[in-house]
Amino acid sequence: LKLLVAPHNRPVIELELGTEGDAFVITCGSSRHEARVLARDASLLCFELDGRVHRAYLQRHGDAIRIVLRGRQHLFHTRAPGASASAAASTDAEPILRANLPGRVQKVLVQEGAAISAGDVLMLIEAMKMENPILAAADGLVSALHVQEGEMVQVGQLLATCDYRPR
Amino acid sequence: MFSTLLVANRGEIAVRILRACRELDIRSVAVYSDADRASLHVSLADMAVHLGPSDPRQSYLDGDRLLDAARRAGAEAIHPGYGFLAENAAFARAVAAAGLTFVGPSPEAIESMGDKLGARRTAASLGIPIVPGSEPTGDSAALLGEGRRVGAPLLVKAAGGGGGRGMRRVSELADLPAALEAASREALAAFGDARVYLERALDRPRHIEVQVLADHHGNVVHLHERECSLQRRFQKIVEEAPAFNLRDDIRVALCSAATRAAQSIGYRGAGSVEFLVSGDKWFFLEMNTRLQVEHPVTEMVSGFDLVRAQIEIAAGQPLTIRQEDLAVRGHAIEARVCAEDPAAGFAPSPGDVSRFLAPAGPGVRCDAGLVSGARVPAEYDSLIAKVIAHACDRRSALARLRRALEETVVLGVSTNIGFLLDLLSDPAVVAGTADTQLIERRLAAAPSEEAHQGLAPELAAAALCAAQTPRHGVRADPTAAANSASPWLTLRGWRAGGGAN
Repeated sequence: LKLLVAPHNRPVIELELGTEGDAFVITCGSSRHEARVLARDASLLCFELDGRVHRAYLQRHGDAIRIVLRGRQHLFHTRAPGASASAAASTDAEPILRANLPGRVQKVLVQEGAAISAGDVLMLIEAMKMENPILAAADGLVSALHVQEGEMVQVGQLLATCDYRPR
Repeated sequence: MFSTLLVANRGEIAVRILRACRELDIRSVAVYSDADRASLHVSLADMAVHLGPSDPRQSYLDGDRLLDAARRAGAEAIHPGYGFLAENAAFARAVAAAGLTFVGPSPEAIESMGDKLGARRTAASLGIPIVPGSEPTGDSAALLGEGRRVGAPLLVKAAGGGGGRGMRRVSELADLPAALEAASREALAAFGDARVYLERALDRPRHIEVQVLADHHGNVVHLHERECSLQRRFQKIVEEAPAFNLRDDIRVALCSAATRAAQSIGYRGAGSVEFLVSGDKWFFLEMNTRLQVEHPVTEMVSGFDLVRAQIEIAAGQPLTIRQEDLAVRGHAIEARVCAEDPAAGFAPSPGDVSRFLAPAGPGVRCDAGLVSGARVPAEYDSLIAKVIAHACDRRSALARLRRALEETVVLGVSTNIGFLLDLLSDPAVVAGTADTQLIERRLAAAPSEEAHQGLAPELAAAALCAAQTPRHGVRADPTAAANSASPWLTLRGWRAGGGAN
């Protein structure tokens, strides 16, 4: 069985999964790996990979899997090849910018129609006592601004719409 | 000693102070906003009083509500922690006027050091070197002139602030107007005071601070130094004690200057005097008239309980420890775990923490403000836990801290733990040669791609996890998966807790 795993903002990796006796066989390109699940509960996956034991904590957010392994966090999107899953979109720039935390729009630094480059600061939201920049995810234009300076915003509220050039 | 003490704070520092109260057999009172109703600190107290809405201005920053809570709970003393009202002289005065004890220095001492200009004047009058700079003002034209006089590179700083808020670094004078605007805007939002001032930015300085402790009976001691050079946007991230490879004559000079500064303003309680060290030069930076976030590293190497000492001093007890008894044992390093996403420019990441596992083992301390199932509110600071490692020497303490961070599990919100682990493996950090600009330089450099030998275990974990669809339960039926529109793959024969068949 084939599986596409997309590490967040990284190229998609194709894996093939199979079983052999009581083990899983994971094939990645020309390399073949053996995995065994040792323990599992709702958020814990203890497994052996090529003879080494790992303890991963995981949580699913829709199509995404968030993994904590040896302290580090990893975010993946997984899907079957050919499945037109929404997860595929996660590797493309999302043109609709929403507030991911509640706060106050401190400063809007661009105007509608402005040309932007990936990483440009579009506006500053004051939250958790800090100025938090809202960044352009790719090159393109600001097609619409939906908030004004001084406005309070809630999580998920529309901030701006961008017209990103296809990569 | 007090019979009842109110902790006017939240999060990990409230937890820290409430633990001290329990050990001192003092009845403790927690306060909480709407967002903190279910927070850990509330349940660790003997009594809890609701303050008001989640907005800190209507809860933890509202002195009247705090005094009302203290009155209702019958508290005799108020411990402000750090942040919020900890360095607010008006609050300290109001506490005293209400007939209660403020666990901290006098309002006059807070004022003399809280005003950065006054602090610089005090230091200069004692013959302590200060960084060249300007007077604080809200007049940006005057500051532009001062900027030309002092010369770039410059730091723009908030007159009423600390903790890195309202601070900007300016490499060229052309960038000064924009930096002045941004800094004074942030200063106004954070401290209600838009005044800023300029200081010359030193070349790759180290940030070193000295912990002092003074009682009501004229005794002043220092508990040696801490190094806090690892900072991002002027926020400390990793702190250690003692400072590594610091010249002995400089160490002695800093400790002596800190003690003299505390004596000169009639300081009492715990405080920290901060310095910048650049080559063989050192300068007074400021004094923090409160407990510091990074106080645990001093506690680990001194074996001395600073919070207990603060409370005992506030109760009028004399210091029983003598300077010569305060030795440094081994090395301690602290890392601040924050709910933020380094991949998204360190944007705060509030949310529900479904699972939190604190590290343990020899020499490891974890001061956390949360438990599994807790929420990290968006209204407050993103610091969720401090992981501290203590060992016989710096190298062992670093290895221990990395081990402890690898054991730490925070599921549900993004954290900076991966960033901290990278930082603690940085050659300059390992060698102990870091300066305050190290992190900005590293972040500006291209990110290094992690090289994996074989299959990365996290990829395998994702694949094993994706192989089971939650929609069909863990004992999945492959035919059901094939017929469903779900893109999830289902492997045959996987069974929870056992081998596949």
